[in-house]
Amino acid sequence: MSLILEIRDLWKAYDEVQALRGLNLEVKRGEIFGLIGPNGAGKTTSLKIVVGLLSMDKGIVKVDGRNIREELYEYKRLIGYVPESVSLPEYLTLEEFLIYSGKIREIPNDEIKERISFFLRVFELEDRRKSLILSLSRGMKQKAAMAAALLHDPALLILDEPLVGIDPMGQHKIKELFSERVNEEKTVFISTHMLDTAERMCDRVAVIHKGRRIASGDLSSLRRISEEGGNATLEEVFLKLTEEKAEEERSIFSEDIRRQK
Amino acid sequence: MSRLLDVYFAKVKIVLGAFKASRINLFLIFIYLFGVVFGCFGMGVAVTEAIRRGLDLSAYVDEFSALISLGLAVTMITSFRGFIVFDYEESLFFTSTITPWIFLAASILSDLTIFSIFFGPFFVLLGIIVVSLSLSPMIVLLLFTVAILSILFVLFLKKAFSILISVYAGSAIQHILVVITVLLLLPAIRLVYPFPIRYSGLPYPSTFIAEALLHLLSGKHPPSISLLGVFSYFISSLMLLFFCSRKDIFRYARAVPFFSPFDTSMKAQTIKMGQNIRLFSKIGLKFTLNLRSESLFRFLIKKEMTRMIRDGSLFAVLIFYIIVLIISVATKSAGDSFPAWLFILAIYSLIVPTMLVTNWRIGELNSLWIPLTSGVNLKIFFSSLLYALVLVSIPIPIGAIVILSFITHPNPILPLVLVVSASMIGSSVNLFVMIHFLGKRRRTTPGFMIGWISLLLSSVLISPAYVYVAFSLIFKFNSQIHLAFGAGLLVYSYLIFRFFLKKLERKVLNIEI
Repeated sequence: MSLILEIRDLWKAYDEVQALRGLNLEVKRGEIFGLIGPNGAGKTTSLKIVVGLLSMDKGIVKVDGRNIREELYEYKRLIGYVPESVSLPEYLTLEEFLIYSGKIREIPNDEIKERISFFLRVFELEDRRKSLILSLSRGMKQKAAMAAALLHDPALLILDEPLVGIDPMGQHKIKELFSERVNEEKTVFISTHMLDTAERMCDRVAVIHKGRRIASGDLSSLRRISEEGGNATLEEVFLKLTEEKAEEERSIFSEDIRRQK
Repeated sequence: MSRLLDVYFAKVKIVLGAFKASRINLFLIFIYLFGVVFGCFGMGVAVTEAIRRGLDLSAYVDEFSALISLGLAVTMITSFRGFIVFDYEESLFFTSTITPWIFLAASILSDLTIFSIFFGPFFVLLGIIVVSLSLSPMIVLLLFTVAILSILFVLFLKKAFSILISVYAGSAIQHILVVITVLLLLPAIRLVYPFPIRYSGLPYPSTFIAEALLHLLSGKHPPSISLLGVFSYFISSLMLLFFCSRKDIFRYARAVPFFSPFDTSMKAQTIKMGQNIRLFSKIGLKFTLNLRSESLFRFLIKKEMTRMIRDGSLFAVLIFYIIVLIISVATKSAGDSFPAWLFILAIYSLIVPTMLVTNWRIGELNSLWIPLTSGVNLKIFFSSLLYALVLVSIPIPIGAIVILSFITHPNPILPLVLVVSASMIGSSVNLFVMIHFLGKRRRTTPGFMIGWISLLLSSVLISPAYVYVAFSLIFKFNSQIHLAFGAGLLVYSYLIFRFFLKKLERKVLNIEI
């Protein structure tokens, strides 16, 4: 399978805090890829750089071979993005919001109309078509954002904590939708700290810790890397890997202190 | 005492804490203070010079008293919202053993601290006058005492009345407070209409304050009755506040989301914007965004217009200019009000773009991720926003000017040029500055600071229009000169507009959210 997303040696700092330290990731076409890591690992920062909301200090990010620095607009047209806390233009109705999302992606009018009807049906939001976004629940807003992100049928769908705030029925629909996309050779890239979700949904995952990738692969290869048994859950593997890394860093730090003394 | 200081320091730290989010804030505060101190210095020199040339300030007690009375009435009106506290105050202090008196005293002290940061430079004005006129130490002492007692009187009164409104909701006390507010508003009629009754003869607090301050500024000893009046009102407000603190006021408080002027999260403003959308969308839903065959640019302008209708921005602009119309018509009989009217128009046309861009920031910043990640050409996106701002800020004042030219003033060229220039320059400068502060490491700048910088920069760039207006009033230009200058100024404004549009188109690529 060819690569849809390539991240090479990605660095990012906020003032004195180093959020990413040479992150490398490769996501293949036609898979559901999960990015997992503890709080402050750099998941959201990586995602924001990939979708163009943050600039990088150093590194290369490519989607389908297009470099974000060289072909910004063509690059972005390949992506659909839903952030963790969705904030939408509350003064628009749901239908107007989706028209707006379609228009700015330059989708032809007849296709916008058709796809809006399709996604409103899929997400069971048809009866809220004329409602102001302001009046929608959090879960409905999440679904609306998801519909907007899928409207232009992107090659790479990027989601930050996609299932938070969505009811079980909605979660089921979304999982089905992801499977359909994978069957169509499209890619879904999710960042989550819900390890059970990642385990059930993702074909492959990458574990990041303090801005670096510490492991990646499918669950069986992660079990091998972490030397956990064949029945180990992703949670057990994750805890082992991050604890090992933390222990390693602690020993390096102690060694440094000893040397300085 | 230590508990009072604890509460006081906690409140001040919470309000000013957000200020530390960015180093640039210190620089912006410096610019703000520099601007205000500079303005106060100029005003101080002007007042001193006028007094030296024989201006008798004590002759203006009526007018100054009317202004203070208007300020008091506005303060009273704000207290009708009841006893409002921030959500953090409710959870932090009301659940502890802190007494209402400690809470109220700490609140007033912290209000005074925040007040002194923003309005402290106005004491420079008093300082300049005191030093330039070499006033005696006794007069200086009295001047600053009266000024401070007056400020405390207003703060005590506002706090006490807001508590009374909440504690005695639905009782006769509310009617009494309404009557007091109306009485306080009466002297303000004098500001717009030559009213026959002289309120300065009545024992209004504003009269005592105005009389004492103006006499002291002239270097004269004020009448004892005015000093006694200021002191009596101060003591009465203190006693009223003390009376309120004896009540179980915490259970009457209404908590609202915390908002600091230095806060960049815009939580409170966003909630307020939501209330506006609920209110104005009832009318605004008649204007809908449809799928039509039109360019993306036109569609985005329509979308921005829809926002401005539904979030109340358009309504606010309308209200602005309706007030101008009312004042102009009301003062028509009071002689030639054209310069005053132009002055109001100049101020308003400068403020309107700042207000519109600030509303855009509050309503759109959180959902800016949508266009930024969509692949839409950001140059088209932001230039359509700029054109929408101009389209809203020009036609309404033009309508007001046309109406007024029928009622009062025959020559509309002067105000038209002023409004169009201010709108084009103001909108482009405000949007450029706003986008500039969405760049890397600048996102933590508070909105009011951005607005302040935009206002400063706009006013500098609009100054040729102001010079033109001033010259035309002094030299009484004929129509040909008006047309020539007007056309020149419009070209100048358009060039400024284009310049900032080009800068903006480059700047949008640096936005980080």
